[in-house]
Amino acid sequence: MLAVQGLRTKGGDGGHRVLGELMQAQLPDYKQVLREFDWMRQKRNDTEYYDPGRPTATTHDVADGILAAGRIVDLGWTFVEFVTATRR
Amino acid sequence: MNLLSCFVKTGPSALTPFLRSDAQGAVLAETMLDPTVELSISEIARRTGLLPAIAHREVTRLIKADVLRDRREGNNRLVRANTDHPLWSVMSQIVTETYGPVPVLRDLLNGVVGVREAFVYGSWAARRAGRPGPPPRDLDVMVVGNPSRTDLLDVAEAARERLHIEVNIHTTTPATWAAKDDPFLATVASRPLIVLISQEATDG
Repeated sequence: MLAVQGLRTKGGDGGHRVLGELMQAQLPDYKQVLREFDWMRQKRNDTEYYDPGRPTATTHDVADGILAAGRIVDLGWTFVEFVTATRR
Repeated sequence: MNLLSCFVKTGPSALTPFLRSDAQGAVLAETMLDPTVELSISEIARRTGLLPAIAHREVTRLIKADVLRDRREGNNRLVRANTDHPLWSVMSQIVTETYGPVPVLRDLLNGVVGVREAFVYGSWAARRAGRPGPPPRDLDVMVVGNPSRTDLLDVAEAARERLHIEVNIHTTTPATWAAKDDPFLATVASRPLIVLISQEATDG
């Protein structure tokens, strides 16, 4: 979604967060779909960098995450096709 | 379980040096976050978990300082925030961003179907329980029940906008919370928890 606009996030800390915030800012009507990205980002972070005071992903989170990712990918394809078509 | 002792704690504030005590912060949060609302002292005591005598003492001090105003209605003494106070804007911002989480999250979560219990845990709860440390960078909320994730994301977003702090809400089922055999839940349960919604309230 960024690449089709000629954009990319910088690598390193906060890259994924910025990506989620940028897409929510660009597509405010789809905030409910896109904010799931931030939920998954946080969950992945807490699961990968284990801290007993932070919750890791549960099997329910994983099942939910797969559905949420599907919705984001569908939106992504629609967005990319729209941007590409407007350039023709 | 240390819930009750945290909930009614009345010691000096570890959340901010600008408020005299946790009791004062809790009373101010209940009154200042919605200055259109008038509350009786017994209602303030109920919402804050303070003993009525302590709630009465704090309210009286705040009325003397013209931070709160009161009026009589029958046998009731009703209290509201004084928005004409010269420091209103600064005070309400400090109160919202320090003691605001309980009333804000409680009110938001009260409207969500499937919430059986809710607590704040993590660094904010530790400060609220009197454990000194740096200001909390986020708010960690545990919801016991089966609410929809979409509803909880709405709550987190609304709370973040109101409190100006990142809000993370984690859900667990009543059975998993009761068992606490997950290392994370065991850790959470062993540290300070500040009650937002109690099981007794939802059962009632």
